[in-house]
Amino acid sequence: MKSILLITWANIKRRKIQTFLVGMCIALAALMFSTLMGIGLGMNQPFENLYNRLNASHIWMTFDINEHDPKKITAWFEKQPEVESVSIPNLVRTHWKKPIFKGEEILNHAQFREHPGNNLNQDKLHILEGGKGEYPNPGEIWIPNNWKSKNNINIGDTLQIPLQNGLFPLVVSGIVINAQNSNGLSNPVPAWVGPGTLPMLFPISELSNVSLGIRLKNSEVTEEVWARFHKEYNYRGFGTLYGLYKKIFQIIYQITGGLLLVFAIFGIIVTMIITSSVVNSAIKTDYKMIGMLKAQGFTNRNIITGYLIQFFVITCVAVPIGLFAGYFTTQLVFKDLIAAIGAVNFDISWLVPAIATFFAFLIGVLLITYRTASQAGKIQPVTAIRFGGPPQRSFAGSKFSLFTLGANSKLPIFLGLRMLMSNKKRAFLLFIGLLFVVFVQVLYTNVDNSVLNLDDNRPSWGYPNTDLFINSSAGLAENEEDIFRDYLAEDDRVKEVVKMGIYVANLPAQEGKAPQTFVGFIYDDELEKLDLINLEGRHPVFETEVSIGINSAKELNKTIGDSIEIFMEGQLVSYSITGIYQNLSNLSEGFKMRIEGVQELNPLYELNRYNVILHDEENPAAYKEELLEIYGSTYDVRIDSESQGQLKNIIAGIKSVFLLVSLLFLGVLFLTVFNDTVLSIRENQKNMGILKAVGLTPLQLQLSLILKAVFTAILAIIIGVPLSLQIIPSAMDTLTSEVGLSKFPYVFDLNKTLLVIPLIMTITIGSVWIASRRLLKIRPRILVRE
Amino acid sequence: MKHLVLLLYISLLSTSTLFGQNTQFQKIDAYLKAYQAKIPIPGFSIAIVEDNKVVFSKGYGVQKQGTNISMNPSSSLGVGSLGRGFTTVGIMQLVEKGLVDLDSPVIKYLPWFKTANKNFSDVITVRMCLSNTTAIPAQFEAVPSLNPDESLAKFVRSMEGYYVKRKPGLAYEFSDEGYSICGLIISEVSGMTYSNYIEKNIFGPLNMTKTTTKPSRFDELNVLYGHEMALANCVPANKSAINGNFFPAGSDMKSTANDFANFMIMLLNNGQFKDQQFLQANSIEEIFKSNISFQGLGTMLGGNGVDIQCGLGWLEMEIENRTIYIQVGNTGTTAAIAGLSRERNQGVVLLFNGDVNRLDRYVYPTLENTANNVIHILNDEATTDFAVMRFDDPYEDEDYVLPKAKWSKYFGKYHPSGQESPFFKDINIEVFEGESGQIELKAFNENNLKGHYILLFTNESRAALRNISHPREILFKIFPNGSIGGLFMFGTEFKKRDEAIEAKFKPVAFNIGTTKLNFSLPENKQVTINGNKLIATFPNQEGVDLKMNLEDINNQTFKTLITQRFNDRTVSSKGNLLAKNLRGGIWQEQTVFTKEGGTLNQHLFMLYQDPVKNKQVVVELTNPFGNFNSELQEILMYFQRTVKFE
Repeated sequence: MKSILLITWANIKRRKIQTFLVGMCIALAALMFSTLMGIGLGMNQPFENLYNRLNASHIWMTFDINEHDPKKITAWFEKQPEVESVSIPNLVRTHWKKPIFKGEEILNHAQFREHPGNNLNQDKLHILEGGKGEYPNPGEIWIPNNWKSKNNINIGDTLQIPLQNGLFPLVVSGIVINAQNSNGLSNPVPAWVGPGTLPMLFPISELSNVSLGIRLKNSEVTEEVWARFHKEYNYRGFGTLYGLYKKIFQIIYQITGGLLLVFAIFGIIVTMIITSSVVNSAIKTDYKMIGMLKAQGFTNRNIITGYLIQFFVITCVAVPIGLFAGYFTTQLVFKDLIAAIGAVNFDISWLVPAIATFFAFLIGVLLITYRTASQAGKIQPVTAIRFGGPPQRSFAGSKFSLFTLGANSKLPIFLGLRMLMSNKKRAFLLFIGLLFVVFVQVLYTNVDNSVLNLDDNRPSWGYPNTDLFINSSAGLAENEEDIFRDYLAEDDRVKEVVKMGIYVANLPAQEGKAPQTFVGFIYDDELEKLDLINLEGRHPVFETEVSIGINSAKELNKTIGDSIEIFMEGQLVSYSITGIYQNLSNLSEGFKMRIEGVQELNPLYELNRYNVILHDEENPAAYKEELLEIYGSTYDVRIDSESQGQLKNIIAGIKSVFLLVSLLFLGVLFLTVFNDTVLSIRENQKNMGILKAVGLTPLQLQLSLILKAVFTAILAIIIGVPLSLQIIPSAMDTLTSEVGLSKFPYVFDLNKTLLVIPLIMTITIGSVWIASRRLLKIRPRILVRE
Repeated sequence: MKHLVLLLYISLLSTSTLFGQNTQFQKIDAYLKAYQAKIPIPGFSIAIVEDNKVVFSKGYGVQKQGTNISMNPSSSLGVGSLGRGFTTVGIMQLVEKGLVDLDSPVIKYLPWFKTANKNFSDVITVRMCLSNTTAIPAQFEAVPSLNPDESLAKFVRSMEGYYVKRKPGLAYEFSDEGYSICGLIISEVSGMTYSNYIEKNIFGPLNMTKTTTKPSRFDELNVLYGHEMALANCVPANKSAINGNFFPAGSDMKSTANDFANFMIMLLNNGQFKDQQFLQANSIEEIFKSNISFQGLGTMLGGNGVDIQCGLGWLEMEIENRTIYIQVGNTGTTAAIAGLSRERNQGVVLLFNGDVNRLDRYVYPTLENTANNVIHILNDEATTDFAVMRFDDPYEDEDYVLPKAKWSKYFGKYHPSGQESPFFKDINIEVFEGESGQIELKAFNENNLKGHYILLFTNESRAALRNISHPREILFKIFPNGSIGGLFMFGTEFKKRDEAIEAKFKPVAFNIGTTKLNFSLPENKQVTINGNKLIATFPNQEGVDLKMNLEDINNQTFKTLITQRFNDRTVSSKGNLLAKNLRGGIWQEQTVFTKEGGTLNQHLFMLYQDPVKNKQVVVELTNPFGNFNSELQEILMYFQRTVKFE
């Protein structure tokens, strides 16, 4: 045993560079493996996990204590067998003046909630920073994490709350996440103050709203309990259910989480391939030494044991290094993810991916070592000592030959192909690795392109294609002529003006379902002018027609041609469904209708929003400034790029996560190619020596190695790019259908996709170039031992 | 004898004071008599000036519905935004003295002045304030105080909570805030209160003896408080709460047609009044010079769409080939309009003891139409239909009938939800079957009627409010099960009251001698009264007590009261000092946290002062921090809703 250990140690010392390279490969692979595993675990049902961990309410009610007695409502719910717990009623106050931070309004309106304390067993808050004590002290506020990330507000900063008699300061003492509103996509966004401290800000006469949370034993019965409550209790307040919170969370998560999980799986496969081939190569490099050892009486078992020890040591050193880097990478990714989507699985400790990675690598490396070393054990000592390596791979079995390439073929091309075909298994592994990398890069490039260029593709996301969106803040008097519309329509710079409004209707109670709000978008002109599109069917034209969101269609089990009963203007009215559309802003729920449909019920109904489309050459920002000069704040004017600000901010936040993962894959690409090159050099050492001896320059040899990798990369690109373009759109449709995007607005950008090719090629070539620099130093005399 | 002379004088004024008997004035008189017969406003007064003298002034109708006291041109009533002209003149006086520069930033005079985004407020100039281009949005939200002069400063300071969304100086936007700022500049620069300054430097020299912004003079001047609008007529309005916040913008300025005529003479006469050069001619030019314009009255509303130019407090309108400088004001219960033709040296002012601006424009002539026609007649021109609605009443053809079986679900009391519009603070609504045999709605502020309407339903959830005022639509919040949750009216949500919840609270009378304080507390409270002190405790609310002290109003401010109350304790933090008008008095509240032996205690400190009764009640709810809950909040809310000195 001692001799085995001594030889193993000597081997490690003798092949310092090789040991370093192997260790680096394993470390990098461990970094990627652990990072992606961490992400995978963190993204696994984070909403459900957070919900359960914080004992969040499945039904969140807010109502006026002048209308309902909280005790009576509490008593009703406590009697229901499905109910786990009912929270205590807490004062809430929605404030329609945005908090001010450093002289600027923050992005969201706030719903101030009195927090009863994290010691209570319901609706706890996850504390990210600060948050000492059970609840904020008087004069303090705990803010949602997305306020921190979007407005750069930190612990100790002061938020100024605009009130009746000026600004009231609240010091930020906690950065938190609550289960229901973790991604900040809802408005207003909750922020928390201590119990009884709302009267510090608002008059007691304006503090009549309370919240009440109902936690159920099983989230699946939420709708059922809520429907029963409505049936038995004449409830007039608001209620938001688990399902809606989940959908809002999933708007971002479905895209981010789904893709990251795909990346994680790919990454893990690729790291396994790398590790396997690295170990393989390292052992096979010792071909001659194995022969000598065997000649000296070492048994197969001794040799296997030696290698197992050697790789055990390398793994034990390299994996922790990878894990160390992986920890920070994961934290970086999580930081961005929490900022973007609000939650990850906070429950998972780094120990899980660390231990899993360590053992996965240890077992994996040892298995590969065992397998490879077992094969190495079969080496014939005579052959090994004589040839210094395995018999050189020849063209035997390959259809390629020097002669079939033709007289005009360049030698490096020939050599490259020869090396490629001489070890088909490794070539295939390299190809698979490159294929994943190509897939990930095409996916990253085009999904990134699709979401970041939302403005150029607004109708596909369900947003009208307008240059300016104008909201009449004052509203028009009844039947007053619309001078503003005339002003816009008569302006030569304006191409189209389509007015719209929002109508809050209801859907009546149905079997197992409470009545629910059904929000409609009402238009006074053809929706085609706004480029709005339907997934199926057409826009409503007559007063008896509606188009509905795809998720409403699914929920209500309705399709084109069906009728739908909507509670509007105090009556139940039946409409015919002409189209089904998707709309991210409303989670593809609700309906669209022409103004005639509402005016049939209420002839005085007026619309107060204007979609303005300018001629192509006009500048919307300049036009907006002009309108502001004329109309002041009578109209709230937004240009298209100012719309969907919150969503865009979140998406921009995710970009860094994807970028990081994408870079990891490029790192993998470099590593894979590097390793393959080193192996190729080893395998073809003798041939290269001969070729050098017969006059081939090191540059030509390098070129042949480069071409070998380039051939593989080209093949991966040729197959990977079209395959990605086929798979990605439908995969994205599946990922985003729940949040209302049945047809993910996938925008394929040829130019950006083509950029992936030079990127991959550059890394491939660069990697081979660096790995093969040593070829320049090869002396034929050393190489040709025969 | 003195009284007899006075009566004779009043009698003379109340009939007519015709300075000439020429045809134009007879025509004007006839026109206004016919106008008075048409409108359901009990009375109005007019003064016309021409060539630097009052040529016609008269009162029409009565001062108060149900009485016989005639309206006369010396009847004093709220002029609303007409008061802005005085603030402008006050500033121009200081400009002439070199104490104020129109184009200097406000912060030069009020260094502490700022909005939430200081970079914008720093560039707001005095001129922007007077031409309504500050970009400070109109909030209409008062910061009340028993001392009106004090509340002006508080109000301007409160603007630090305003977030200005666009660059100042770009566009016209109606706002009282700019004038309040200028009022405070006048006060700061002159070293006098705003009221004292304009009384001494404007009203006095212009001989406007019945014009004031001082509430203490209202009774002495027999100020009229105007009328509210009911089904077919007006009902007298009660004296409303006075907020010094908007004095410089007009709100509570009281004046008469005759007094205002003097002001117009001065403006038309290049700043000269009688023998005195009150303002320099170039200052007058500055007042009328256009700073910015905005879109004029549209054709459907009877206008011509020509842009309106905005001077300093006056609007320049091109009406039927004449340039008229206009000011319009209203207070909700009174209204006023003044028009100047500088080229003809003519001016007209009309003061109404009802808000004629709110009258149904489909039925009654508008204020602008009347003033314009008076000027036409004065110049022997034909009357026109300027500013008369050019489309029909959309509700006239409404044939929807709400089935009688469904009426009862609408009946009941509605109270404003948490955040009511500044115009409808403390308004409560009752929907019932009225004597008209239709569904009617009454709005009350306490027991004072603020409006009485018939509901003309256009479908089950919407109805038009019909009375003598212009129709407005209200929306009932109907749930799919058919029940009514509340209604939306004038931008405020009103919720239907739950009688069962109200029944939990029972009246408590706290009597000291002749002073009686009424309020409601939960039925299960325990009350101990000891002299002028009352302590209430509540079951299930451990460590909580509600203490009250009944006393005469003294000079102590609420701030001092709190400081004294806690001078022996460590105050760890204080909440916002909040104030609101309540039942003719002022309600103030502040939350204070004290640290006592390592324990944090919460004290909700409230003060209700009734200046008429000269009484106040100091209320304090104490509880350990963390124990305040929605039940205690409900108790305080009901206490505030019901507290009243008898």
